[in-house]
Amino acid sequence: MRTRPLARQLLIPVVFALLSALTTAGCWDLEEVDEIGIIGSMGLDKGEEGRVIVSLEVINPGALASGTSGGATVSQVVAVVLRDEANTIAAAISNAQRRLPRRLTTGQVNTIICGQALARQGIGAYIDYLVRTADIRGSALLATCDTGAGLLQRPYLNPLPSRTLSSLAQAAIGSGQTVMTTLNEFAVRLTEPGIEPVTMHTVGRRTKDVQVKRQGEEVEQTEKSISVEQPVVVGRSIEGELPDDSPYLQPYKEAGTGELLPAVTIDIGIAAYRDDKLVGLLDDSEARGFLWIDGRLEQSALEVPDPTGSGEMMGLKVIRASSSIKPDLKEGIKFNVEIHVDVEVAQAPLSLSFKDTRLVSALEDSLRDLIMREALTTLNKVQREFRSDIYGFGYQLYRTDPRIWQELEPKWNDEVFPNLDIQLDIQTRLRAPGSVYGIGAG
Amino acid sequence: MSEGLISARQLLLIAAIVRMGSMLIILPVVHYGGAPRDSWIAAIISTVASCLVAWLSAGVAMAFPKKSLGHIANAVLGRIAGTVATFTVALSQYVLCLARIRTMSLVIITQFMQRTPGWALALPVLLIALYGAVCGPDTMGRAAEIIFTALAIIVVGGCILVYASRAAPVAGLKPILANGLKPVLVASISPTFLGAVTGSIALSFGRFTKEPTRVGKSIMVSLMFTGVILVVVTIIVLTTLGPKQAQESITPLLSVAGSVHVSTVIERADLLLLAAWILGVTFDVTVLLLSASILIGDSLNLPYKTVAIALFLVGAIPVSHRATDVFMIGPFQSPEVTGPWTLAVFVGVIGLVYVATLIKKKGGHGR
Repeated sequence: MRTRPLARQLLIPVVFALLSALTTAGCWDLEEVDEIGIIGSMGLDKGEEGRVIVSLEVINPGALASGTSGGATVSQVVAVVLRDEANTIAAAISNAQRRLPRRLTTGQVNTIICGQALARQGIGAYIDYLVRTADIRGSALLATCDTGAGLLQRPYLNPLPSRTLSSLAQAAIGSGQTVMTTLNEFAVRLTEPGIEPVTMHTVGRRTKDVQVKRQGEEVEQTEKSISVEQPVVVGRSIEGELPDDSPYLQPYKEAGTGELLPAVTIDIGIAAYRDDKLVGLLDDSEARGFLWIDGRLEQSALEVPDPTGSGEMMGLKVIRASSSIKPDLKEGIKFNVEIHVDVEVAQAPLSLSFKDTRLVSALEDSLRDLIMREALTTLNKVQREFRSDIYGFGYQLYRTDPRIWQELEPKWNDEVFPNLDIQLDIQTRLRAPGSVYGIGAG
Repeated sequence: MSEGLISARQLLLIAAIVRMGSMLIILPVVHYGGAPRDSWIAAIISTVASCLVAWLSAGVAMAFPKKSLGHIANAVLGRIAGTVATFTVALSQYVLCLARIRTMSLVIITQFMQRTPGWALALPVLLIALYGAVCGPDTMGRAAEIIFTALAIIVVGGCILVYASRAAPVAGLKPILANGLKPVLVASISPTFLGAVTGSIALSFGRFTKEPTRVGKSIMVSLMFTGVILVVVTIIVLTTLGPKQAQESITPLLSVAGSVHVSTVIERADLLLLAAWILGVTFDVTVLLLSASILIGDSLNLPYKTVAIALFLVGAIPVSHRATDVFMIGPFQSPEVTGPWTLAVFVGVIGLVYVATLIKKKGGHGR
């Protein structure tokens, strides 16, 4: 068989490869990392006349990389906060672009923070922008804060505010007092029947502000905060756009003693929405009360009274918790919630030894009472005050009998859910006394 | 001598890549029918329906070993009717080849590379398809072994990563069939069409198969294998994005990949799946171009390489002209278009050839 010369055999593949390489080099969308402004976090606040104030944390990756090089601290701007106001997020980002010598890109947005004032007004249109924009990932964390802009400027143990919040969201799950909600989850809860969205709620304020923070006052605080942090005068120099402490985003402030103190105390909780509107906040044990029924509580530390009646408090650590919601449609509409909680002893009075199984049973009963109290308190608040089915009872009804759901859907949150008969069946189990039954003292 | 031939296993892999490349990212099964929560059922129905329709093509191919539809149709229907039948199937494959290149370039330029003109992606892909077609079925068979392995690892690995990394799913698959069976049947039309197209490559590649009696088995196994993947992917998409978001998403699987955080393993699972899709579609359109070239070439007694070059030149403009928006994708894949197309071409024309083949065979035995 006659074979072709090697050069001729290679000619066609080489020509094809060259032609392909010429046209697929991607020059049209070429982006050099030192020419783009990477938006790491986005804060959304209520503006005037229905507009939205968009705050953008623009990361300087070069400064982040060189910050600790060679063990020496390099003083560079790791991020700047741009802010602008418009009717849509797209227009606000476009306006902000006029003051940044780099092309803004949203591909690395990992936290989106909604201010309470805006959240109470409704964030549906902004969620639409975030979901519609192809390069914003659905895994971006969505949080509700006293001000969207406020948290952007308060990094804590992390040079970047956006990373502070995302790290906090992952770590704070261990407190059992918050949830981590992604943009995708929020959108799913907006579209699925019979379940309302929740997000992590954060407070980026100094300690004294946290002390006075209670539900109902935040909106007023938000307005004040925005007026302080809102020098939205478009077209001026960039310095005029930024609050005094924002350009260099110092993670710490040095106290008079030389001790490094965080510039901000961050509190967390859960923000409850009805459709796209914030309707209330759950803090501390209220948040945990929600999570008992929701079933997303991963870890937490609990305090229950010593069942022997010593008056001392005992510490328990949740190992795992789960729940299931089951509709009972035999006589009207009822729901049975089964909650399973496994704990171990974290701290107990010196005199106690858990070799006594009666003590174990008593402690489990005591824990059951605590969980029942927390869960019912929150349930009552959510049913009566929020009137928003953030648990998804309606969703379970829809899954079980979509015809009944179809009848009840229009009046679910206002009439049915607040008066729903919900039975809790709580099963607790003390799995271990810790590493010892007791210290043996006393 | 086995030069220029492919094995039954290679045919299986080629068919599997064609089906995966055409449907996984766009996932037409969730877009139509008005009951997206039940689209996993539509995926199962479409797999069964695809096997039934594809069996017509496989049956014709097995009835005449070492022949393509170009030869077979001329033999059983006569020269004119046979040529019309062959051209109908070949042009269907060719139009789909061009449409898929447009779809891929449109998705990329609208979702990822918005300043890149459509032609800059479409023409190189068509060029690669031409090169693959000129190399012939045996080269495609060998390439399929490598590409299928890569695709399978990426798709299966990607699905496992996405499943393991996502948060607790809010959306579920219940209630099942809340809107009845009709929307589910409507949703299964488009994926059935894609399965029928996959089956139709037996009519061209069957001619180059070393084991002609195993053509049917290869096509069926590939359809069932990809059907299982389709069902799994559909369930993952539905439970992660929710039925409504899945239905509204242009590229549901990429949306899912972008909705999970897998930074400990890989930062951008969506880009990995996108790369796999581009690889799959490029192979897919190459197979379709080659298949159409073989059918037309055999029908007109022309070398398929010459036909492939002609089809490339003819397709260069429609594949790239005004490729600027994605709104063509929806109507093109809708049941209103794919349903009649399936019935007319892959059931009607190929069914006619199948029946004529049976009659001819029976007549032959009778004598």
